[in-house]
Amino acid sequence: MLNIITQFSKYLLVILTAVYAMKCFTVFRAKYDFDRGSVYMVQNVLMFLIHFIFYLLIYLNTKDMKVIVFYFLQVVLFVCTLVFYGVMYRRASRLIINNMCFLLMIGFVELSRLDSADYPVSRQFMIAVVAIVISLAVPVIIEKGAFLKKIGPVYGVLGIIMIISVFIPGVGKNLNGATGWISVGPVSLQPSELAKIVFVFFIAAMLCRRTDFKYIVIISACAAIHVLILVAAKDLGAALIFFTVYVIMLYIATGKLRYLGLGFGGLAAAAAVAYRLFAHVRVRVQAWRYPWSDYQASTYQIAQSLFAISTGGWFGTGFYKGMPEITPIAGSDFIFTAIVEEMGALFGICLLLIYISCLMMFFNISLKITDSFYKLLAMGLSAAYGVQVLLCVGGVVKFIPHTGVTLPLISYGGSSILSTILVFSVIQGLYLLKQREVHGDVKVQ
Amino acid sequence: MSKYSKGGYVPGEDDFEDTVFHMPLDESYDPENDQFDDNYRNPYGYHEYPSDTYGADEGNYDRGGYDGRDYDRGGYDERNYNRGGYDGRNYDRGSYDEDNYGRGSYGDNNDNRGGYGSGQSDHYAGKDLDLEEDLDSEQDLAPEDDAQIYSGSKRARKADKKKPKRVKNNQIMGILYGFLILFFAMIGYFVYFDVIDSKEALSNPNNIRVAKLADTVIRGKILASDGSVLAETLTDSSGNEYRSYPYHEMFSHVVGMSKTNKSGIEASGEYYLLTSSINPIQKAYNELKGNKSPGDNVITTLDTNLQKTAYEALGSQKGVVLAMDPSTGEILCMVSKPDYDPNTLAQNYDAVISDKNSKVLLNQATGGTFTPGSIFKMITALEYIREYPNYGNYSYTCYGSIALESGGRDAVLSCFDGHSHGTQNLTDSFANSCNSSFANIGLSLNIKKMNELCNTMLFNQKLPTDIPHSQSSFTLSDSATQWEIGATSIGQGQTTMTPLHALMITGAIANGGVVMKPYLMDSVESNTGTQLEKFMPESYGSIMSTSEAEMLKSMMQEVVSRGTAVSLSSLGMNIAGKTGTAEVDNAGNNAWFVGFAPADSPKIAVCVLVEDANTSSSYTAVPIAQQLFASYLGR
Repeated sequence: MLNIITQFSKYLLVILTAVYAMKCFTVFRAKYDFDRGSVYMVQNVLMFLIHFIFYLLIYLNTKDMKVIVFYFLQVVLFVCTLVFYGVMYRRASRLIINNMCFLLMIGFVELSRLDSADYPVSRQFMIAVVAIVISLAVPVIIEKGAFLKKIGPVYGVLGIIMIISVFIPGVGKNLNGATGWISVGPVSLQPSELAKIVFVFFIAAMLCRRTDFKYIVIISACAAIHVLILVAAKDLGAALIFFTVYVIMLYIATGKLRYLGLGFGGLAAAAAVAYRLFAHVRVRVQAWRYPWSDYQASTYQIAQSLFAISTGGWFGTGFYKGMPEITPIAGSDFIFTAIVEEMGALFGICLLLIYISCLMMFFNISLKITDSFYKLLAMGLSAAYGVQVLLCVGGVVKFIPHTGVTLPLISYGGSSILSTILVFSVIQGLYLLKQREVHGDVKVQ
Repeated sequence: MSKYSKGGYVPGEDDFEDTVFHMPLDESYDPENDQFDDNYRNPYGYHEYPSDTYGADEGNYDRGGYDGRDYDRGGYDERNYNRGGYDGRNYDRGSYDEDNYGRGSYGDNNDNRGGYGSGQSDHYAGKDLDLEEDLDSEQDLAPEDDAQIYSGSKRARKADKKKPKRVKNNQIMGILYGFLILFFAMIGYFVYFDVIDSKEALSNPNNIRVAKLADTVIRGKILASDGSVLAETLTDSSGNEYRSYPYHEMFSHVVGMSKTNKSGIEASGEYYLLTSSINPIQKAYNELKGNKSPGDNVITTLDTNLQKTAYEALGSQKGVVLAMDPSTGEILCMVSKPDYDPNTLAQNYDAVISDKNSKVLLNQATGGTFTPGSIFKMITALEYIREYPNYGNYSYTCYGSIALESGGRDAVLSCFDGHSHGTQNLTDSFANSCNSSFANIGLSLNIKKMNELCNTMLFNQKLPTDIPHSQSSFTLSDSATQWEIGATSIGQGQTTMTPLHALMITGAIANGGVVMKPYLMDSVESNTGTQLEKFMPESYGSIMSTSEAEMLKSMMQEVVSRGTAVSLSSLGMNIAGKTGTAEVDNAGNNAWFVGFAPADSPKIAVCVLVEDANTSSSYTAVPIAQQLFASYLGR
């Protein structure tokens, strides 16, 4: 019987998620508010339905009463999130809130499925609660905080302190071959995740003032320091994100295509140098090119990932019918693999479409905003988010070499989830700012 | 002010989303623009503008059905808007040329963007909002010189020139395009992987997930080319599945086992054996009922009769017997001893693995590396032919041994049993396998080129085949002594080879220099006999020229007609071959024979290796090859 339910729900979940993903795009076409509102309602119904089916399957497979309790806690969290945003920010983008909640749901579901001591979903849940509570205040800060664009150097110093903290003896610690972590008391943090946001604020605040050549050289040097520290910490994924984000923001601020060309040309050159200099870079590139060559050692991760994706096929093996636990780092870097193995490639593509929909909405906000600082801010955060999704998913499906970054909102990791929720709320804040402008309740005096 | 902004048209709260990627409206509107604020406070700021501009605007408005009266009355109410009488129609008719359009939007500056902008959104919402098209129009409406079009903004910009250049939206669009291209390329690759490359991943023997398929599929059969069952899954009287191997030891290494010692075709063909390609409805029914579906069958290239002949010919000796069709690469038989009975291995597995030196579980045909001995002379001869085009003039007088310098002293390298061959040309030396002569040839060779040739001959690398195997090894340094060079030239020294590799080189000589990739799986068919997949012969490419292959072939024919394998000539099958008797420290000889027949159109290439032989290959390996040729070609 459970087999029938699993097989049936496998198809049902793909269809429901596909409809949800479709609604993410069709909402742009809606003619009247009323239509859009109903689309969001449909999305809400779908997401809770999908969430319910997943947890039903988890319960049926584990027969653990705690699952039910945890399920209801999550429902409370998501209902509260939707209601609070609805009440506090009447004009908030419901698309962004819905997608944030949906992706969080998928993350909780997969971590509950993995049920691994390495990725305790209860901790993830608590961090999400805290992050959402903080995020509710962010739009207010954005609106009131005229000072935000005036303290550029403060962001710069703060960001560098954050990413350099991993080198402080006794605080920094080594995990998965990168020194990207600090532990203060019982709390472990990946400072580069939060520093990413600070870095975008820094660049936006600096570049919105002046864009003459001399000034740009100074800002570029500051950005380079960030990137080099991350390279020294062997956090290549984060270094790549910082770099790309800077180049894109510089291009947007100056409007000069040559900066974009120079940036990505420099990136290609740096990649070539890194390939020659660093053994760990060569290993990753080799593993990408020849995933079957050195199965026991260097290509083990990517080979396992590809085995899992292949075994899943289009519709997946069915929930609890695969072996996601043998995929290395299944709860974090390789969570996309773990999901695709059991839910299928089509489900994975739907998730990517939802990510793309968020990205388009972010860019849309960046387009609408007229103020340079906010525009650059939106642009930088959108780019950081986009690059991170590309690096993570591209790395596990062998589109590009694996760089070890997390999948926003789905992967396990307190710093990751906190920073992504903050990014979503900052963007939300910018959206609200623009909405007020448009609707005329901005204070013009 | 309040009446105007609140009492007049208020766009829907999410109206903003409606006009995704449409900036013109916002371009013209700048909240930091003092000018705007003035206008904003004054609903009639409209009239402050030069009359010609205004006039044009008025004209537009009139056409759109908004008369002054409406306007004065504050008639921009939602009702009017919703009727969409103004913009949509005019806009569609194309009556707004760029100029008009600009002014229209300028006018909007005064009377709230609602009028124009919402009209536009109406217009867009009214038709299918294709993203591409939408973006294009964005590009059209907000070109670089938007300042010219949006004259209002132009003024605004003049007012505060100190500010940095306004961020351009088409650049943001460019970045967005870049991201979308990357995202969709990634999805495209993901789909490509799922359609094409995933097969490779699934059939990879390291993929332990495939074994999980056994929960829902009954492992398929492995069949010989004539349909004989080599392995099948049966159910015993108490309902338990077990794997049966009807030929016991005979196919043990090549077919391998599904459990205990997972290897051979059982491992490499696992994905096919555990995939069920029966009617999908039946399969779904089985799945729901919890019944297993029958897996697909793998049909091998193996010839049952030849395998039997080889197995019996090798008898109780340790060694390898391999045969393939040199024109296709199909492996016809593969016997490796010592071996085991896969039906009973599980019971005495612990005893088998307790002996660390045991080769019982090793398929020596592919995984064993051996000193090649005189069969390596094929390669030495080839290098000599390449370096000395006048090789026909070669002559050497053999007195049964040759003195070679080794570390400052002379060492003696002898012919087999100290036989002195007398005056030998190249072909004589090859046919009689004269060690002294070949050591002499070796001394005249360019060591660097010899290394290059051996790399072309697939030493020191993976062989071009999907059959798991070990690598052969060849090393000869520039500083090698005469003794080392001499020994290496006759296949002693550091050189080691797998029998599969020796067979591939022999096959290439038979096939005009072209190596065919050896393979064991011929096809896959469903339980009901429908062919699902057919594996076709694949060429690796040429490792020697046709004339070189012809030259080696003629020398190998001499080996059979008058040389060390003369006993084969009695078959009258025009066989070409080469013997080799490699000396192994602290053990008997490795007796080799490689060859093919018929020489003019080869149907079979063989490689025989008898380990720990007491005599030369002429008396151990050659008779086994004789039985193979007789069995395969004499049918």
